[in-house]
Amino acid sequence: MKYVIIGNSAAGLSACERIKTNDPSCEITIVSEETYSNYSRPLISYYLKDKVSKENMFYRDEAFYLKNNIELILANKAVDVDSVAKKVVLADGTVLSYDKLLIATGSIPFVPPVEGMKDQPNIFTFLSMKDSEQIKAYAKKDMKVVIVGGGLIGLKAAEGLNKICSDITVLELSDRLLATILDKKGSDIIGNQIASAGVKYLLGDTASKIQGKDKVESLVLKSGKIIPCDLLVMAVGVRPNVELAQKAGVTLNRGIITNEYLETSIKDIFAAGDCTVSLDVIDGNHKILALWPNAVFQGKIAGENMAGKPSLYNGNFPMNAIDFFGLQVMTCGVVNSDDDYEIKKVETEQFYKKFSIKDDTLAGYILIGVPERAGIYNSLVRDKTKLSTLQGDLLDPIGIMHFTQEERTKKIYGV
Amino acid sequence: MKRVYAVEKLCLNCKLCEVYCKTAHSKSKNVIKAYKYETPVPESRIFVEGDNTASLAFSCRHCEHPACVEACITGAMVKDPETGIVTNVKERCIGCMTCLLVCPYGAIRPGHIAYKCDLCQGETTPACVANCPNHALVYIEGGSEK
Amino acid sequence: MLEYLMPEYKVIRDKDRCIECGACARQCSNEVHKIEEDGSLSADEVKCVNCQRCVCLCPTRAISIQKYENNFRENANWTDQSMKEIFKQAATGGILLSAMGNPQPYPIYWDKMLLNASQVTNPSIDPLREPMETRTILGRKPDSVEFDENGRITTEIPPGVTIDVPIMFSAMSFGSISLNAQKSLAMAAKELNTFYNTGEGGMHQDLFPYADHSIVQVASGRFGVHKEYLERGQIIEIKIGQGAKPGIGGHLPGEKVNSEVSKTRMIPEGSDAISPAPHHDIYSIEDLRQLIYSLKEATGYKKPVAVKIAAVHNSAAIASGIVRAGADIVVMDGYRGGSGATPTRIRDNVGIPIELALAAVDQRLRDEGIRNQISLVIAGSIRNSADIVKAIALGADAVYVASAALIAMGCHMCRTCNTGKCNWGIATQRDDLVKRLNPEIMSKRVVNLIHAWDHEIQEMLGGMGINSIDSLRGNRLMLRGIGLSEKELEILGIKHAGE
Repeated sequence: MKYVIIGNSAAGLSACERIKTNDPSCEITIVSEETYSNYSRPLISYYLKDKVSKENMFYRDEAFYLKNNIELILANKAVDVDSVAKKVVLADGTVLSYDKLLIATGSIPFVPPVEGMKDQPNIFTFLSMKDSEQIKAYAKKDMKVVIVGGGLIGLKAAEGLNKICSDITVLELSDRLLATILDKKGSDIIGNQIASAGVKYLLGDTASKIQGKDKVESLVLKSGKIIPCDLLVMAVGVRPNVELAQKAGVTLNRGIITNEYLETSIKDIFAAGDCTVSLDVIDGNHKILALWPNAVFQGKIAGENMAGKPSLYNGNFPMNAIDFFGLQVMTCGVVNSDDDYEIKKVETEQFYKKFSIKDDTLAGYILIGVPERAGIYNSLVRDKTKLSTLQGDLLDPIGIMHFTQEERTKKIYGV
Repeated sequence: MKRVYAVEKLCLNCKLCEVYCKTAHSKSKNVIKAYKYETPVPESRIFVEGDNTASLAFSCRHCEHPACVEACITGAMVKDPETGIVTNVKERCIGCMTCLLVCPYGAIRPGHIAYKCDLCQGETTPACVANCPNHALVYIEGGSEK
Repeated sequence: MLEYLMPEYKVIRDKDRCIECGACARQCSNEVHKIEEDGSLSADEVKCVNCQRCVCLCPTRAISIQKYENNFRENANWTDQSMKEIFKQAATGGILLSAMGNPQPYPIYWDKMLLNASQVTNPSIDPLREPMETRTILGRKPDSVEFDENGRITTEIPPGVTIDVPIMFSAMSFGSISLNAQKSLAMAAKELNTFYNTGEGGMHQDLFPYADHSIVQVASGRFGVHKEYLERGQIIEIKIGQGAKPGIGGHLPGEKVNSEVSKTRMIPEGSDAISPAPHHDIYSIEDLRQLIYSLKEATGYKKPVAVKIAAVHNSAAIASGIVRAGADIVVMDGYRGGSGATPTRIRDNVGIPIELALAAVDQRLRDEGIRNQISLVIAGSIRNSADIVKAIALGADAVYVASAALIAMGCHMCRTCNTGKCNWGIATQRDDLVKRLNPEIMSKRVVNLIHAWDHEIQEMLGGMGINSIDSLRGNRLMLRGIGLSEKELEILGIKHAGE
C-alpha cells in the first residue's frame, strides 16, 4: 500500500505514525515545500527570542524517518493532483502515485491588501520557520516595530521581538486583544501585562496605508495617526491552505470538508489539520480549528482510516494554553457570550477565572494566572459532565475531590 | 504495566507521599536537604486532596492513550514503548503547559517545565508507595476497583 | 484567669530538622500542632497527651515530647500528682476518670520470681530439634475417664476448645475500641488459632467471618446478647467484674455510640451505655449457677461457659463457688488490668495483684480437689513471655493479653482513651481516626508479637527441661522468689531463691 502525505507537520507526522502501526510494511512518502525538516510550529516565537536553539526545534527527530522507513521529500511543493489516475505532481516535475493521499497542508498567513504594499523587504508574516529566521536576521535593537494584528500570532511575535527591539507597537482592529479567545476583562489583563513589559498597543485601529518606496518607513493608521515603522509584521490571521485541494477538486467551504472518517469528497483522499473544517462540539458549528492538538488528533484518526482501521472523528473544540510575558493563559470554548450563558467568575490581584455554563454543563472557561489542573475543566467540557453532580464550588481550585466517590474511583482505576 | 493506585478509605491525609516524592526527585535524596537547602525546591508529582474526613493521593495514570503525549508541541512528552511510563524529556520541554490543558485528571503540575509522575523511573517501588504509613498506595498490575 | 494546671509535656521541635510539611498538624486529634499563616509549625502544649503519634510520623524525626519541668516544692506526702488531682476536682467537681491499667508503683510480683533451668540432671531440651507442645485445651475436665475394650473413651467429655498458644486476646468491647482494632485482633486470633473476646459490646457483622475464633461476653448490661450471638461464639464468658474497676459497672459515653455501635449493642444511638455494677439477675451464687445453665441450655451444652471476676480479697472462695456453680473456665483479672474508661481511684486502689490471686485460687481449688473441673485463665498486665511462663507455673492454664496487643498496634499508653480521640485509631469511633488503623498491617504486628512470645516460651520451657505446657502448669517448683517476704512466699507457694 502506497501512502502519500502532503505536509510535514503535526497532522502529517501523526498520520504517519498511525499508518506505520497499522500497516508496518507499507510505503510512505511525505512531501514538504519547506527546506527545513519538521519542526514544532509554535516554537518559532521561542526561537525568535532565543529560548530554543535551531537544533532543538524539531518535533520528530531525523531517526524518525529512518526508523519508520519514510521517504521524505523536502523543498518541493505539491502542485497538482489527478484523483482519477491517483497521482500527485510536484513542482520539479516528479510524479508520485498513491493508493491513499492525505492533504495536511496546514494554514497560510492571511495578508489583507494594504495601500502601498509592494513587496517591501521589511514586511514579514509570522507563521513559518523561514519567517522567524528572516525576522531574526533583519531586526535590530533600535528599529521601530509595528505588528498588525493583536491575536495569538501577533502577540507571540511581539513577545519574540521584545528580546531584540525595544520599541514595539501592536495594532488591533477590534476592541480587545486576543479577541477570539478572551473576553474584555481577560484582554485588559493581558494588555496590562504586555504594557508592563514595554510593548505598546492600540485598539480599534489598524494600518490603512504604507508609506515608503524601497522599504516601509511609516504607516498611516485608520485613526489618522502616522507612526514610524522600520519592521512591519502582518499578523492579522491565517486561512486554510487549500491551493492543492482546489486542484484536486475536493469540496471546500473555506477549508476542506470531510466526513467523520476524515475522507474528503473524493475517495482515497483524506485531509487533516488546519486545512480542514472541523466540528466544534460545544456549539455544534463547523469551523476551522487551527490548533496544534487538534491537528495531531485529526492526523491520528486520518492515518488510522487510511490504513484500513475505521476511526471516527467526533469533532473537537477550541482550547489554548499560552503564556504571555510570564502570565499563563488557558482558555477553552465559549468565553464571550455573557448574555446567552450563565457566567461564574472571580478576579483577584493574582488571577482571573471565568466559566460559561449552559444546561448545567461547562461550555467554556478562561483561566489567567491560575493554570493548575485546567485539564480537569477541559474534561468537564469534553464529557459534558452535569455540573450539579460535582461536589464543591466550581470557583474553588478544582481537583479530583470535586467528583463523587464513585467517579473518583472510576478515574483512578479506569485507565 | 504496574501503576500506583490509591485506596481512598486508607488515606490519612498525612501527605507524607508528597514529602517523599519531592525527596526522591531532589538532588540530594535527603529529606532535610531537599526541603531546606536545594534551589529550586523539588516539586511533588503526587497530590493529596481533601481533608481528614476523606482524602486521596492522586498521580499520573500513565494512560494507554495519553492525551498529554498527543498535545505536546515539541514532542518532549513520550510514552516509553517498553515500560509504558509517560514522562517528558526535560531538555526538550519548554513549559508551554499544553499537556496540562488536556490532561483530564489534572495530573500535571505547572512550573519551569511540566512536572508529572515518572513512576520513579520504574527502577524501584515508587517512593510514595514505599513510604505510605497506612499502605494506602499500592503498586500493582492492572488494578481494578476493590 | 488563674491557671492551676500547667501542661504536662513540652513539644520540642528541632527547627533545623523541621521541613514544615504539616503532617503533625493534620494528624494530631488533640489539635496541639498548628500550621501558622507563614507556613511554620507551632504547638499548643496544654492539649498534648503524649501519644507519640507526631513523633512516629514525622519524616525527619524533628519532634520529641518531654516532661514539662515545673517543680512544686518537694513534698513526699503532698506530691505534685496529689495536688494536681485536687486542682482538677476543684475545677470540675467530678470524679477523676482515666484509662488503661493501674500505673502506680505497687510491687510487680512477676519481676520478683525467677525461673529454673536444667543443668546436669534432667537435661534441657532444644526447641529447634525436639517437639515442644504449647497447645492447650480449655474446658471442664472429668474426674476420671473410662475406656471400653477397644481403647475408646466412654466417659462423656464436656465441651472444650484447643488453642495453639496459651495466649488469648482479652475482652475489649466495640465502642471502647474501634472496629478496625477488633478486626485486627480477630484476624490475628484466626491466624494464630487462638481466641479474641468481643467484650460487652456485642459482635459486629464484619467479625462474623472470625466467629470460629471468638469468645462472646455476657456482661451486666447484656449489650448485644441474642440467640445468634451466643451461637456464634466458641466460648461464652459471663463477666462479673474486671481488674481495672472491680465492684462497679462500665460506662460508654453517648458520643462514642454511633450508628454502628448502637446497632451492635442493640441500644439507641447517642445514648450512654451503662453496664450496672451487679448483674441484676445474679445476687447469689445460686443465681450465677442458674445463668450458667441457661446459657448452656440455650446453646445445647456445646460450648464451655466461662466466668470472669476481678482479683479481690476473697478470690479463692469466690472461685471455688464458681467452679461448683458449673462454670467450665474461671477467668481472673488483676488490678493492673486495662480499661477504656474507669474512675482513677478505683483503678488505683481496688483489687489485688493477679500473681497472688492466681496462686491463692490455684492452691485452694487443688486443696478442695476440684482444680481439674475448670481451666484457669488469668489477665491483668502480662507484659512479656516470661510473665506467661511464670503465670502457668503458678497454676494458670492460659493467659489473656489486651494492653500488650494494643501496644503492638501502636498504643503508646497515653491513657486518654476515655476522650475518644485516640490518635492511633484504637480507642475511638471517629471515622477519620479509625481509618488510621489498617487491619492488614496491624493484625500482622500482633501475630508477630505472639509468635515471638511463643518461641521465647518454648526456649524457656526447653531450658527447664520441660517439653509441654501441661508439665509446667502449677509446677511451683520451677519458681523461686527473690526479695519477697515470708508471707508473700507463702501465698505464692514458692521457695526463696537459694533454697
